[in-house]
Amino acid sequence: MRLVSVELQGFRGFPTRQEVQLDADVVIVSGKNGTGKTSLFDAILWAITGTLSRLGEDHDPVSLYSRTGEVSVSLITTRDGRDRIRIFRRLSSGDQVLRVECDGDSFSGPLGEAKVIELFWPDAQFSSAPRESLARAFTQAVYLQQDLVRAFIESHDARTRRGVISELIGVGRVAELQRRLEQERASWSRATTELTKSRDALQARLSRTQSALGSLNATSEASEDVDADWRAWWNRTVSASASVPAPEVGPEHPRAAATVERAVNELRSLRDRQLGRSVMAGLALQSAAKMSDIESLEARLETLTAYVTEAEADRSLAARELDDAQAALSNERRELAGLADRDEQTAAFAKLGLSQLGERCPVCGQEYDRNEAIRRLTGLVEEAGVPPREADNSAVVSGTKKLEAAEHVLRTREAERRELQARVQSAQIDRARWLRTLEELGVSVEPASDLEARLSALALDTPGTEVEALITAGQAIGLRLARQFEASQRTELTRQRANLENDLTPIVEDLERREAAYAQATAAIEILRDHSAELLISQLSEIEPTLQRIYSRIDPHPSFREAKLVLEPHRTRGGISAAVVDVLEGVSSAEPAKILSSSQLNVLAASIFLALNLSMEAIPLQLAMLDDPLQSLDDLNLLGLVDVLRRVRDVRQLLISTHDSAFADLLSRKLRPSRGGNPTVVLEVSAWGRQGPVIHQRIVEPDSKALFLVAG
Amino acid sequence: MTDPAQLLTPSQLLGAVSSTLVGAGFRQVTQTKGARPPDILLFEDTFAIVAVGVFESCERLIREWSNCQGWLVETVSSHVSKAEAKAWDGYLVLLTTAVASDFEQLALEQIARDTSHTRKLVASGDRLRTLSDVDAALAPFLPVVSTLQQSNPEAILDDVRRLLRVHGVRPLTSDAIVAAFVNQENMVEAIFKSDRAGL
Repeated sequence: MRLVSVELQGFRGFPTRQEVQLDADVVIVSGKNGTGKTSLFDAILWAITGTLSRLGEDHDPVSLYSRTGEVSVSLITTRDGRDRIRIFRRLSSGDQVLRVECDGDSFSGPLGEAKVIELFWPDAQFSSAPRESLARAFTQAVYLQQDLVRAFIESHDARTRRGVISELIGVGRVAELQRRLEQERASWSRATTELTKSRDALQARLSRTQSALGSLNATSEASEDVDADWRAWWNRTVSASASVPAPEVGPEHPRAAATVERAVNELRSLRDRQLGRSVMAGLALQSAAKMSDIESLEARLETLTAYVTEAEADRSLAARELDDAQAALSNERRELAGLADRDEQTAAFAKLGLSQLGERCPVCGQEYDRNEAIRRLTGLVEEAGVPPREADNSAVVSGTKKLEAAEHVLRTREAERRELQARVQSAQIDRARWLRTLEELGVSVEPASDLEARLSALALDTPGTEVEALITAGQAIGLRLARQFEASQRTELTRQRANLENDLTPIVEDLERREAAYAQATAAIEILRDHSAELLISQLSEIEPTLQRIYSRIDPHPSFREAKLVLEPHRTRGGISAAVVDVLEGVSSAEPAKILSSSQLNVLAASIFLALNLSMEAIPLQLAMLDDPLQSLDDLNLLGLVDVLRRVRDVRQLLISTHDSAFADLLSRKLRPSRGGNPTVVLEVSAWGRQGPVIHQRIVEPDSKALFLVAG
Repeated sequence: MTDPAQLLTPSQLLGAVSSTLVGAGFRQVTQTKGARPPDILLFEDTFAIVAVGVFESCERLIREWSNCQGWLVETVSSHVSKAEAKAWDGYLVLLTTAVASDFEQLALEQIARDTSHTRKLVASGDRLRTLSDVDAALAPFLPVVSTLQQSNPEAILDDVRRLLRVHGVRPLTSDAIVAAFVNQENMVEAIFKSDRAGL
């Protein structure tokens, strides 16, 4: 990719619109200081990256003389000599607008920025700050800025230099490869785990199948033998038992064994029934004798019931008599109590009277016989002191005894009756059961005279040998059917085992290879992680010869005639330093500023810049921009630099500015085109005014012929 | 002190110079107007005319270099008009395998710094022991890069391949990883397939 033209308006030294043609192998911009040369170079930088970090993050590139207060730059490049790419960037009131036209499409905004990165520095997409990465790549390896010629060797520290070169050689791409490989390895592992589960499931099924096979007998059964016996047995069985229907399936059917089993069970039931009837009849016979006892028990129960009734009546009578006696006793006691109270009251009155006796009666006042009164009153007091007689409770006592006796008799008789009732109930239950047994046996109670004979006959009726033989034969047929089934099962399991092994083998092989791939991916990741410095060393080893060729051609120092980039002190964590070497004396220094003069340092810096420019295969724009590289170089160094540039033009489009007209002339001579080759253009910036610079374009003519001394 | 037996002979020097410059696209000029000094070769390409002189000693080089330059200037002027830019593109390469004394070294440096008429490139003694030293002396006439390098954003991936192989990864595997990465395909699957292909 190379530059074709740039149109700028309002950009720094270009207040008005100007278009500058750049479609040449070499463009030499010549003009005095302050005429806009650097502005032209910066415009190209700004169009691509959107920034001019050299001038500060907040720098506004708008020209003070811009009529619109806006800045716009339109840069056209060409790819492979055919496809044109146009980048249009405008800044207005702090807002930046970008449009990229490429391959017939137009991209704006973030898509435009992404497109710029894709076109001019694809590796930037792997950076955390792609636009900054693009700007760094451009200013480190494409555009050697006038103010920052020695920035790489003086302003940056060793770690920063390492970062710059790492970025330029594409470490970001390697980091992306490693990151993606780690992600894909993780996904692969998950998929392998799922496949492992499938394998394990198949292996488990295989194990079960093998285990089932191992548990089967090796004996097989010929189906035709079973057929004949099957038919014969069923004929006999159906004849022997009405409850066994004819089979609906043949011996080969899956339900054959179950059908035989049901028939055998029916035969067993038949046998058991027959046997059961016999036993039942025997038991019923044994119980028959006891059935007649129940009537006498019931008669006795009636008698006892009558006794109980009588005892209850006696008890009731005794109770009534006792109640009467208790009532009479109570009355008597009340009467006696009343008499006693009266006596006490009389005695109290008598005492009172005794105490109050005087010559006359205290009540009526008459004269009375006081001694007689005293004698009576004293008699009353003495009578009250005599304890009253007890009431006669003999009737109650005898009544109580009588009642107790009656109750005793009643309880005794009730107990007897309960016991007899229980016996009667038990006998009734036995009888009911016995009657049901007879009913089950189909035996009528009447006539009772021959009941025992009939029961005896039934008890002797046991199951015949035919049923037993059928049962045994049925079991044998069942066994043969089981063997036949096992044989077919063995065949099926063998088939299943073969299928499972066929299914399992490729899975096992696949898993082995998957695990091998995983291991190799792991190895690759570890190598990338642990040996990434070797990539840097490898790239440095490719850059160094170019650096050495360039530096030695300019040859700034009489002793330190070699330059190199050194990775030190630690390969994984160290930085990169620019070093100069005196090969003859075996002396080197990683601090060239202490050895080289300012001019010589400029040469070293320019050499490193050109070496990076020529070595960075990842940069699509094959361009080297040098803004006034004169920088106090002496004549010899200048000639050496120009000779280098002459060779660089073979592989790069060159854009060089200089304030020195003599140097411009030298460049135009030395970098003149060959006949039929791409042109060399000189842009002479003659003056600068508020309308911008005045630029004259001059095409440098080639020699009239290629060779003058060589004949033909 | 360098063993004289190990020094390149003048013939070897001249042969190496001729081979190098012709390999870089120069044509050797065999016939010129006027007598040519001995042990001087003349070459021309599109942009430059180069005379290369080989001297037995530093003393002789110091004594005779100006004659060589005079001859070169006259040759160029007799063939190339002053209006042509090539008239100012003459180079004089002065070589001697002799080791310069300090005094001679100063003189040689002065010759190299003399930019009048032609540009002089001087190499002597310990800087001219091997054939690659001859190339170094002729560096300004050779390409800066050995091959024209096309833009190749994935050049670093070639180094990744090499790195993996150096540390024991099979070539099929390393190729598969890088190819899959470039083509946005699954790299582990590519390893898997490469294993199958390699079986």
